[in-house]
Amino acid sequence: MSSRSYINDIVVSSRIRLARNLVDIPFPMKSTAEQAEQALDALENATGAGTELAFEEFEVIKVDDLNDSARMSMVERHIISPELGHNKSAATILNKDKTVSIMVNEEDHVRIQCILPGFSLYDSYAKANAIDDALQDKISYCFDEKLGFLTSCPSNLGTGMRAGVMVHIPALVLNSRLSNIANMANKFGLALRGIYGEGSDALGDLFQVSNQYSLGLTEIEIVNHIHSITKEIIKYERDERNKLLINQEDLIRDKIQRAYGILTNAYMLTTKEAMSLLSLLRMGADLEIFNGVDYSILDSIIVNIQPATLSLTFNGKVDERSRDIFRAEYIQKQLTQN
Amino acid sequence: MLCDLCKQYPATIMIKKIINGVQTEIHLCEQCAKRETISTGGKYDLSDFVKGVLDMQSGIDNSTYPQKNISEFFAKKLPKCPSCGLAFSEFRKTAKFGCENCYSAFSSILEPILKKMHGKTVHTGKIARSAGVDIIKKREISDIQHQLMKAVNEENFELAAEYRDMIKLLKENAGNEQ
Repeated sequence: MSSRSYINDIVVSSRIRLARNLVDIPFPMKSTAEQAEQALDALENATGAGTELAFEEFEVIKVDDLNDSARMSMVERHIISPELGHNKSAATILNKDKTVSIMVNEEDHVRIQCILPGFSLYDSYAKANAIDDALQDKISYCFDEKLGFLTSCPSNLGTGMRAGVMVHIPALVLNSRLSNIANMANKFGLALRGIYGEGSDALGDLFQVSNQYSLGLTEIEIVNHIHSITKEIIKYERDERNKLLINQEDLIRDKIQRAYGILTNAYMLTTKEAMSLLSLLRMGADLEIFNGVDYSILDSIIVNIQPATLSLTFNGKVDERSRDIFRAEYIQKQLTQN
Repeated sequence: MLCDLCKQYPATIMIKKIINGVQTEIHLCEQCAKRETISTGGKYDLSDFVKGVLDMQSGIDNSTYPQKNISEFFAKKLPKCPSCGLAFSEFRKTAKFGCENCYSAFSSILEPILKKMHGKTVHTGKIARSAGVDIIKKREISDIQHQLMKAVNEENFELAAEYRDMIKLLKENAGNEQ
């Protein structure tokens, strides 16, 4: 199990996003079609052949050229944000290994996003920062000495940075400790949010810890905060998992094995049911109750069973019921072929 | 002077508020003042308005926002952004600016909003290359000055001396280039 490091089982991925705007062009909300195109051209030039970034082999994908499922699937895979795509020049400039997505003409002209697997926030920041530097060979950003990088929404002002880690914390959820974690994060100016699903109905026990403030702190200070809080969350989640094992091993073992039973035998599975069962398997793998499937496979199943991505796998639009059948088939195949 | 809101009756009441150094004045007739104080629950506070902006930003439906009239008043009083034409009322609705110049056009209302949003109002992070060499160097020096103070406070005078020399060198270099 190559990807089974001490920390990967709790921190799924680490993400940095930098919001930037080009000088002399109104922000996307107020820019004309020509100005939006101009912004996209500038970014294409800054990332293409002959630039410092050529080695990334960036590809420009215009949102307008994607059908609904393809666009939604990119949202589900966190490559683009749901907000990207209200104008003709909205695009993502995506690198070859899909770790860097430069969104163009979202709320801001430029949103550099870097997502790396596991607990790798510093690497993710280093990468996003290097791309930010390289882009400035060709383009100039809106910047104010006092206010920092000027963004469309003042909530992103200053560093323009949103940093976050995706954590899988089923034991904290199971033992109703989520509000403690949320409060702790809050004290450090961080927010805890569900990744899939709305509000408290977070699917798969997956949450994002991210900074609320972008002004008045340096980038490294923000990353340091999230890093240390995440270390605490890992510790708490591990404590809760140990408690589960000590106090109710039989119950947990039963839950996890039942989850495997349903996932490999069900004829239909909704996203919601599949997500909570997969969450149990993921924890089961760490507790050595469930063996045989690598984390990376479980994580790719979680992404691939989301509605739009699943529709794409099965070539086009399908109704909800057939999708639930496809989902069950797909999961069974993935879990049993290994 | 006529009432700022109805522009029909003479203004007899002035409400003055200073928030984070930003002073705002509003002159009202008795009728409008009465309506305003009732509609705001007896308070006339910009921070509620800021909260309104924040609530909208976090997606909370704010249809019952009690200070509609007051912020409509600000909408009239603050000019549109000369560069992109964004009106304050648009900003109030979306919490989004239309261009880089909006920040100077609406600078008078910015500080309390930033305080509320970030707790701070001054950027201390990365500097864009477009800011120019001078600002980058200035920041470099002020960062080291910061370190120097810290070293002095910790009575680490050896380190402090190093920082002092670094600052001296940076300042000299800056001087030579000019």
